[in-house]
Amino acid sequence: MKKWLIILVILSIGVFLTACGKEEASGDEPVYKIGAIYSSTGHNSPLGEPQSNATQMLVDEINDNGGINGTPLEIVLADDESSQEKATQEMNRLINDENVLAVLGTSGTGESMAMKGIATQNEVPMVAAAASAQLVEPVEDSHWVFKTPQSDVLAVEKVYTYLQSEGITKVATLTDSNAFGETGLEQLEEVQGNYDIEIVAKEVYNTEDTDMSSQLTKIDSSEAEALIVWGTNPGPANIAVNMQVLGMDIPYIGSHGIANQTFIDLAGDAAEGIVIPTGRLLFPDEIPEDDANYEALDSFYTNYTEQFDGEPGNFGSYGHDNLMLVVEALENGATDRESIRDYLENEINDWVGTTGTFNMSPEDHNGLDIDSLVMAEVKEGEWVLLED
Amino acid sequence: MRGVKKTNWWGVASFIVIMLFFPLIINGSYYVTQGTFAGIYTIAAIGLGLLMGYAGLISLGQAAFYGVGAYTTAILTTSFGFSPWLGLIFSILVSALLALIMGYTMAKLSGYYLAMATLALGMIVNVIFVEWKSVTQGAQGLYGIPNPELFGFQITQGVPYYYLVWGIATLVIIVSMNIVHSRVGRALRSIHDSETAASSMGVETGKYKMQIFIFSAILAGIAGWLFAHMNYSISPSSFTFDTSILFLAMVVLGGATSIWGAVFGTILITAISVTVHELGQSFSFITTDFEHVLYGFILMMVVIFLPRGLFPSFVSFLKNFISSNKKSNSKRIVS
Repeated sequence: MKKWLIILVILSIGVFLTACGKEEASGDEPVYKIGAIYSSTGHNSPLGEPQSNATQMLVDEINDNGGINGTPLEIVLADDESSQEKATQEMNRLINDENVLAVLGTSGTGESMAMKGIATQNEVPMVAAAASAQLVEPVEDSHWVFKTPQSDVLAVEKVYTYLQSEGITKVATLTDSNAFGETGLEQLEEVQGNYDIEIVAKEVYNTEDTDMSSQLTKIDSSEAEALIVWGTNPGPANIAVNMQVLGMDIPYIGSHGIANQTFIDLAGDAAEGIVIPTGRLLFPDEIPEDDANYEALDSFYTNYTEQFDGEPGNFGSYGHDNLMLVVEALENGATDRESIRDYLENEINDWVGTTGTFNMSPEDHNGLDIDSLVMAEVKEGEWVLLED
Repeated sequence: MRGVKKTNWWGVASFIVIMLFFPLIINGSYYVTQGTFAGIYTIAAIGLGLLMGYAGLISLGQAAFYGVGAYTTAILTTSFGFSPWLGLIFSILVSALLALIMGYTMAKLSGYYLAMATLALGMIVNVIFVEWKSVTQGAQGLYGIPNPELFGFQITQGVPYYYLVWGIATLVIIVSMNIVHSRVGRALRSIHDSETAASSMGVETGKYKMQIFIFSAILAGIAGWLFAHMNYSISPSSFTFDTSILFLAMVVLGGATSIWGAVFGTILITAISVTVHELGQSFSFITTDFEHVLYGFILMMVVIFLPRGLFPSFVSFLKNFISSNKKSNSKRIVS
């Protein structure tokens, strides 16, 4: 019995000492500490991985160049595993245990919404990398929350503008039943009137479906002149293949959800001619040098591809802009939670990022307009810029 | 016989002390949040434990009741401006009602068939959350759920919510122990051992099974209520088949034959996740996928070597250990 007692005492002393050691380690030297939560694992990992990579790379770059006005930047990177519960835990840890100045992320809408509640309650600025507009709307509830990805409505407007220029007025929609497809459909329905476009057939598929022939057959028998597909891989690729098999030849317009090489690899030659709205980071080589975002895009893209295997893609660009916005605030003397928020809201005007040019205001915590998107087309197995 | 034993108040008291002091000793928001989630899961797991260990019914759809509890209160508080406490009453009522309806249709089912039926229920309810867009806001979920207030004090995420969750969990533990040690508990155990024997002895098996099914649904509903008001938003992804399996794993791991088993199992699973997280910060090769591998491994070991679950095995080990120590001590005195 005694032996056990001694072991227990030694163990508890050990635990106590390590706990003390941890606290002493945190330093006297000033650092700017910011937190980032991205979904490096789980179903959002295709989004979260480039975001996480980009963040770490940029922080290393900044510190190699002497930090922010001489003060080093410290990043606490966390992974929410694409789960709302984990995002909540990490958010609490970053804000209260790590005492970060601002939080970046996360990749998914549901997880970001859970974080929004905590950010608001603790009065910590948060810059999300999820698309949904409800993250920053209504403005009264989004005092502390910003986001860099284009809202879905912008992508929808871009698609409708394109259709208008092509002289198409009757369209069919085929959308995923997940959150992405759902908001897409909502926006497609809402703004159709502004562009004199009419949705004549509306079909939905489930994320796991592998064959959409029945929906396509219904669409084929309608008077639709083009098909709009709103979803993420692999659904839209299956649809492209199904259309080829059915011999449907109406134009296929996708969403920014398939702005990656994976889509083309999945769909094969059925992808040829498919048109989508996308951010510019899908093809940095195609962006003309006189483009406002060219410089930011070029250096980020080159550094990223040197250091990592994959391409940063649009998601990497959100990771870049999230971090650089907060860095911009820190550089200009906004070094506490309150002033970072104020800076982001009031001082970000014509700020050039990789996603677009931001103009934040108290009414708009996203700050992007339709020019942050371009149209792309699949040509010979690659995404290319579609000239206006 | 085991069942005649009275409630062990020493167990309850020491549990309350540990629970009370945890956030004071462990100073860290991350641990408190983990502890809060553990409390919420404990409540749902206790319900499932009662169902499995005492009535011998397996439910693979506990997340349905958990989700219904969360959605009921979320809809009422955000769309209709109800107070969270009124929401609690409705969360309990709606999950109980769902269990009652399901109980009637499933009354004749047992064993695998009941498991399959509850599995289907879990999936259907999740589809309803996604598809009934006008009410549930679909896959994006509901947001703007308020924190509950008590005596003018807003219970926010962190230590206040931790105490709310574990306070309710303690109540649930005490109530469940009373049920277990009552006539109902004995009747349920007789059903578990042999339903035919029980009914031939005059136990109304159908009635008791229904009652415990509803009770477990109510507990899951309360857990859902706590989950919804802890977070600003909820979405269907928190109430999938995976969540049902998580509850099941907690019960199987801890042991279904005791209330403490569910508590123990939940805390253990949370502890694993915390440990993996801590290790992952020091060693980059330990990713979060490790967690699932560990769950699977431990669960497999438990099922093979300790089929009663960890808690009962742990208790009997402790008893043996103490008594053998006493023996060796007395031997020493003699010599």
